[in-house]
Amino acid sequence: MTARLLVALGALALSGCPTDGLPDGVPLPEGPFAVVATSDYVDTVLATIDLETMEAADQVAAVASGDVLVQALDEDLALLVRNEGLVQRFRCGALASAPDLELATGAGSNPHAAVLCGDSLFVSNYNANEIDVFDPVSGELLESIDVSAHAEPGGDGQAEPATLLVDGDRLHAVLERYDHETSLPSDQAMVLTIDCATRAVLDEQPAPPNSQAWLDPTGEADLLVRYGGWFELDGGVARYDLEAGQVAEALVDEAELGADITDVAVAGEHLALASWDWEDQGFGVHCLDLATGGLTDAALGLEQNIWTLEAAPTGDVWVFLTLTTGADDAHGIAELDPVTCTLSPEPRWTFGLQPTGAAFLPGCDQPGS
Amino acid sequence: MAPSGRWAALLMALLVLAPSSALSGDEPTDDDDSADEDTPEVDETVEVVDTREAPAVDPEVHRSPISVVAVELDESIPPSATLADVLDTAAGVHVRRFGGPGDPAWVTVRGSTSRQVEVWVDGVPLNAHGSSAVDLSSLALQAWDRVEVFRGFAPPELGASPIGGVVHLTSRPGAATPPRFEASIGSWETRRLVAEGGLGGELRGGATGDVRLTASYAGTEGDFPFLSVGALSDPDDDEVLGRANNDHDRLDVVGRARLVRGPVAFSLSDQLGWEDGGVPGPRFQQTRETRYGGLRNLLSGRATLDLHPTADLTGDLSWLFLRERFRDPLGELGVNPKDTADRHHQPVAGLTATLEPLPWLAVLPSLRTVVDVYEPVDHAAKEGIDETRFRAATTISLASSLEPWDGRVALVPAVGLYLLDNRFLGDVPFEDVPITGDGDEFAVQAMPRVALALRPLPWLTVRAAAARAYRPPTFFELFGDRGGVIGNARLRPEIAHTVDASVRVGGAPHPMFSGAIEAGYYRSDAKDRIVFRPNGQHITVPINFGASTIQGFEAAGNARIGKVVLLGAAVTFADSRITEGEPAWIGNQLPYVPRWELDATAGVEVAPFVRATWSFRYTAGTYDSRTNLFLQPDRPLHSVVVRLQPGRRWPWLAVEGHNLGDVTTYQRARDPLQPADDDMVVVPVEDFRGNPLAGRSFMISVGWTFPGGAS
Repeated sequence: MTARLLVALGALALSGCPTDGLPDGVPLPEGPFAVVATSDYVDTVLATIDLETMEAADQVAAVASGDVLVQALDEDLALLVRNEGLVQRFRCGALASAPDLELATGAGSNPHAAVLCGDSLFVSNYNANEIDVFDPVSGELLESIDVSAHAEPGGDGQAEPATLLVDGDRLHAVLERYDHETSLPSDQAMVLTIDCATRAVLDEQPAPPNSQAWLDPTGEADLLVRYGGWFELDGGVARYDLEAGQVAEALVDEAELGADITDVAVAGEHLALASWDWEDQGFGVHCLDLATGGLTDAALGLEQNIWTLEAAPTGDVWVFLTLTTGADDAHGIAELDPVTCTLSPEPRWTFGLQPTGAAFLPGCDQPGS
Repeated sequence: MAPSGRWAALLMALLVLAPSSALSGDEPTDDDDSADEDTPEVDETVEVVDTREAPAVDPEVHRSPISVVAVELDESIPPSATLADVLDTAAGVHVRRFGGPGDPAWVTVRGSTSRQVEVWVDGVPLNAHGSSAVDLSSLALQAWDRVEVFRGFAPPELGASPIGGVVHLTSRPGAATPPRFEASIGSWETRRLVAEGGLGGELRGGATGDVRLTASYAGTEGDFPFLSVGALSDPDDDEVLGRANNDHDRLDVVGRARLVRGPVAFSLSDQLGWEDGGVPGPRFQQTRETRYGGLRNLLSGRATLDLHPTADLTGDLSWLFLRERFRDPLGELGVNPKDTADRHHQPVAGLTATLEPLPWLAVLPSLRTVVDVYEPVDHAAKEGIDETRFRAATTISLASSLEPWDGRVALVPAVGLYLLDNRFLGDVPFEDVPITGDGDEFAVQAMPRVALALRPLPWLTVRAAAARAYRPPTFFELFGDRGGVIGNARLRPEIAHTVDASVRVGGAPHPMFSGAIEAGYYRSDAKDRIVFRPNGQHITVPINFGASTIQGFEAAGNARIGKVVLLGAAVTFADSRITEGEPAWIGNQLPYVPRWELDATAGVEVAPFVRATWSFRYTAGTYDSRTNLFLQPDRPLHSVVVRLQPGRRWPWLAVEGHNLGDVTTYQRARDPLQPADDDMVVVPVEDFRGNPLAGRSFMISVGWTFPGGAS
């Protein structure tokens, strides 16, 4: 395919990331750190937060795109420039240098997630009906797994591969199956299970509509799913049994909260939930104890929007607050303790632009790097 | 006569016979623009006299207390020029374009937004009170005779006081328009046809009248090449692609009739425009099926009654209808598929009196009421959509013009009272949210203005103006488009204070030379400027921007040397700053406002046989975000136009070349926060992120104005 262009800018093995090999430039924190994407949806500016000192450095790097995801690839940082169909890898998160690997996934492909599984780098292309498999060393495209056959029946023919979850030597790929013709999620999403070595699709199972998924940290089920459409109290969070292809246990439903559940973060055996009561224009934060099933409200009626939730290696959940169109409250990242379910009253970190996501990197001087 | 001998004779004739009133060294007067009367008789065997050339010194502009630029839309304008091209040459004026020929383009004045510039046609507003941003590509230039750009302070007779200024297209009534035809073809199958004709003269009963009909067609495939960038760091995977789904077709028909009988003059005009075209989308995700089309009709009538030698009354009525069809069946641009056919109506009624109780005093009370009607029609909606919305605004203004001391001083004080009635807006998207910013459904704003000119010498004018301006949020800004633009019912109105001052020098100190030059300072302090901010994938939302200050200087001049050499130049400097808002960006440059712009033109003309013009346009790079991280490149653009005509009675041929340097890409640091010589990328030049601009293009045009014409 001519549109599928790739380039490898180095043949650096992933076996290690010695700090003495990093290029000069903005110094990275010595220990674990987070790379935070902030955006005005024109440009993206990257910041770092030292997870030991909790100090932030804003404007470390910039990307000429307002639609950038940051994800960790082991010790490395992946930038997914979604609107331009680019995946860039920065060795050890060294943003001062050029990416050591750059993949062009094709115009309009909209890369959504990148994960390492086995010896391969998997990239889900939301708008291209494909999960691309690359050699993470050379950048060579090994295979494109066509998922168009798994699109919703009678719909727009698009399967929308989104979340990728690494489960040992297998990969679970969630197909959102959004129907552009009706502007609604189709009745069922789908989870494909892929062998990372052979890249064969091992299984396909239906999932609740508009599902996002996480591995169940308790092991009681395969996955946790957040499901349901918007502007309707039709969804919730549940344990999901992949083998049976059905919800094993409902944990929270939207009717109980009286709001849409917009995001979930899995922090140990606790979940943090973001909710949106569209009638009152308010976002809320809640905590769920997976062991007891207890649900606690951390905050209701926030003036800011909650863009996303991220579980930090510190055990806290970071709540990404962005501005509503008329509010004057500060945007930034607030901290939630999911055990006590307490949310910091103000954003702990603020940036020039609104934060939209974070990737947590161990730092290359960590044991085993 | 051998060609060379004929050329020499023509040149000699021009040099010897050139003196006219425009070159006489007299003070420029209103009569000076009729060069016909002063043009010497020439032997018929030598068809050399260009009787239609514009004087280098426009007396109206030279004497005006208002900061104004006027361009005669005559044959000195390149045949394929659009309104955007013409406006882009004026000092203080900047045009942003989406891509190539036929693509949308918007004008800004002195760092304003495009909604802060009102566009008027023959005294009728197309976007009264900044109710929309007028796409310049939707206005066919051929139907007009002159365009004026008022910067900051609009003339009192229009009753407008926009923050940026007014672009006013006017036609010249009273003259019979000879039949003419023009046709053009050029790069990317860009084509153009124009037909025009008119009649005029005396009618029964002592009345006079004229009619004029102009029809024009413009189309293009728009598939200009652009650089499609793959991996940023690997130039080998870049491709040159053609812009896809970028075809446009546009048809305009303008009819005008005018009748003058005794003290009464009536005029009636109808401007019908139809267009259809592809919407190509961003370069990294070109669309296949997204289309935009529209039908616009402006019906207007005007009556002027000379009540008394010192008083006249002018009334005008107009009805603007716009139907916009947007089809995005695959959801290529928006979040979801979309098929809308929204309708807009804008009836306007205006009444202006001109009273001249004293020779040096004129008083101009005026009243103008504008009703905006927005009727959303959504073919894809499965449920009912928003109801039709109404909004009425009335401006009552009182202006006067004082010109004591034999006109050596001109003072124009004016005050406008702006009354906005929002009570029929319908349901707002969010409950309990104010819709005029201060919570009132009925808003009243006062807009005082004053302009002063001192004319101590005939060739010197010193002028200054100050104004307060106001613009309420539009329907589009308040309610969005149910697609890629989310409405924001919490928007506050924009308010700005502007001042400017300039010095004009102009005249004809020598029979072989005439020229004019103006240089001045301007400043605009705006609060709550409304800008569209991307807010997600494919979604933007209008927000109030805090406060900003724009100040700078403008200078422009033009000259004729020996009636053969034509020179012109305009330079603009703008220091634009964010002065209020999020602390991280205070002090940064406003997005899309270039610090420097320069236009220079040099031409040689032996009318009507040959005219060769070289133009150079330099625009300093702009930021497209308040972060001021990614700077577009400086753009030096060269153009050449050569026009040949065997004689005034003969058809003419013109060849144009634009962007001759083929400026389409530039090199920048991949990350401006970490610039390194070995980490550079090559990307396309763009006005709007993701929409590459066209490169080198050529156009060939032929035209013929029937000799003698109508009478």
